[in-house]
Amino acid sequence: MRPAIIAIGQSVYTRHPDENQNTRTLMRDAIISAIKDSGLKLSDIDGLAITSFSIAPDSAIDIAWRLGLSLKWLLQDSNGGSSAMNMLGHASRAIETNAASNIIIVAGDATGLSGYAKIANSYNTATRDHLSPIGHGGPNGVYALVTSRQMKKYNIDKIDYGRMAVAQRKWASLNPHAVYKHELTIEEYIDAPMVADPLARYDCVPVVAGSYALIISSEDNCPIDRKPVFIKSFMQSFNFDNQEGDGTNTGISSFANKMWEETKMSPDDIDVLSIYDDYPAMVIAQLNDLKMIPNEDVKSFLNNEIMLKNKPINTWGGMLSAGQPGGPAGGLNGIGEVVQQLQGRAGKRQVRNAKYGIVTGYGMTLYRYGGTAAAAILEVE
Amino acid sequence: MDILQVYKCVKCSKETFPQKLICNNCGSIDFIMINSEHAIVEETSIIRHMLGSKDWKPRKIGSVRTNKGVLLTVGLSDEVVSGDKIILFQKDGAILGRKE
Ligand SMILES: [Zn+2]
Repeated sequence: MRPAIIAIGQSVYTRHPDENQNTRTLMRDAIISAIKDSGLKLSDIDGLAITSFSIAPDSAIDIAWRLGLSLKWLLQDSNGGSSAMNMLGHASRAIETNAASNIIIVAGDATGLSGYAKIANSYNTATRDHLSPIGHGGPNGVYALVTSRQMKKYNIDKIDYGRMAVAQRKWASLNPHAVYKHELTIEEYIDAPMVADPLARYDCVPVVAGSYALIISSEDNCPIDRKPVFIKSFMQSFNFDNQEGDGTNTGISSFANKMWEETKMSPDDIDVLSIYDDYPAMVIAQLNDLKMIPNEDVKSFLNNEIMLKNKPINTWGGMLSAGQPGGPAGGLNGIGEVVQQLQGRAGKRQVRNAKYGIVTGYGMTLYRYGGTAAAAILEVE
Repeated sequence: MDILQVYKCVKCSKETFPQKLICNNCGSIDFIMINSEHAIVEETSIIRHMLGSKDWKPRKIGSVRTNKGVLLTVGLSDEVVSGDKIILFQKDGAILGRKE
């Protein structure tokens, strides 16, 4: 079977979940929304991939049981910002090999701020034993240091990063699910309180409660009102440099050339991009690794391509404006956004004639920066 | 206050932190702990807010490189800036640096 992404769904995204909203109910809402979008019945689903920081002590099978899903394929992923991509890869291979016919991929979290802080401080043994004791401030502290290195390397300053925050907020204003939709001015960005120098409020993703879901199936199951979205290329990298670099490159740098060569495509062919945006610096790092930034002129790229929206990047507003549920779900939302763009279903955010999109994932801070990275080129025919 | 110790591969002498299971340079599984006292500060940040903490006092942290090239994230005393030579030490499980 030729795998295709056919449907998407999401729950509300909220900064302040009410007493009836938790990780499980939000996942349920996203799944129901995706099922409705697909035209399938819940009983047609025979595969489930799930990622979350907040379902313990439950596992994927417990959630399947509570949802009433009887399955022949099940996966629980723990790759943080790269989980969505990892699940997409495994699920597409499962469809291809007939291990399952209709798979739901779901990510969701409702950790609350204190729950998120707890996760951030004992994320892994390196963090628990060596970063938390110095008061590193969770991922904000880690990426503050990476951002400083990137600023020196490419001679960029705060206002350049601000271009990205402002542009993504403009996209978010067109996304009914985004938690922040009001316009953000460059002055507001610059005047925002520092969190971990040089990162200020609008450089750090707002933690929200929410869930997102995709359905991957065979192209024959795609509803007639849209085109199936195919995965033209899919590549991943794990621990590509043993944490011995400066963090301004990601694992994407280890496979980007191969991706362009194998697909006989170039960065100019890409119409729309979802780049995992836990911090603006990491969007730059991934774009640069993908060879999307001509001559590595980051300053010019931020001030022209991104600010003027010549390159439609993170058209859902990204996690920076729409919100990051826990960690894993933001990546799935980015994939779903490109799917909608390619299917011509992105409403006011629609990029004209979008045929090719890129989606990425990045995450799992090991010690000094993230250890997982992934990218895929999606297409419609 | 203790001197910081890092892990040195017995076979190829590569130093690493935190401890690895296999040396990524030579494949050895044997490490000894050695003192690592001197480093240079490459970047700093001030952590001004801590999620879930209301009475947080700003703290300085930094990315530092030991004289054997091991890259560490450490707590720093307030006066330390990028480019400074520092002395590394451990206190209550935290790796810290003060001006040399
Ligand atoms: Zn060795």
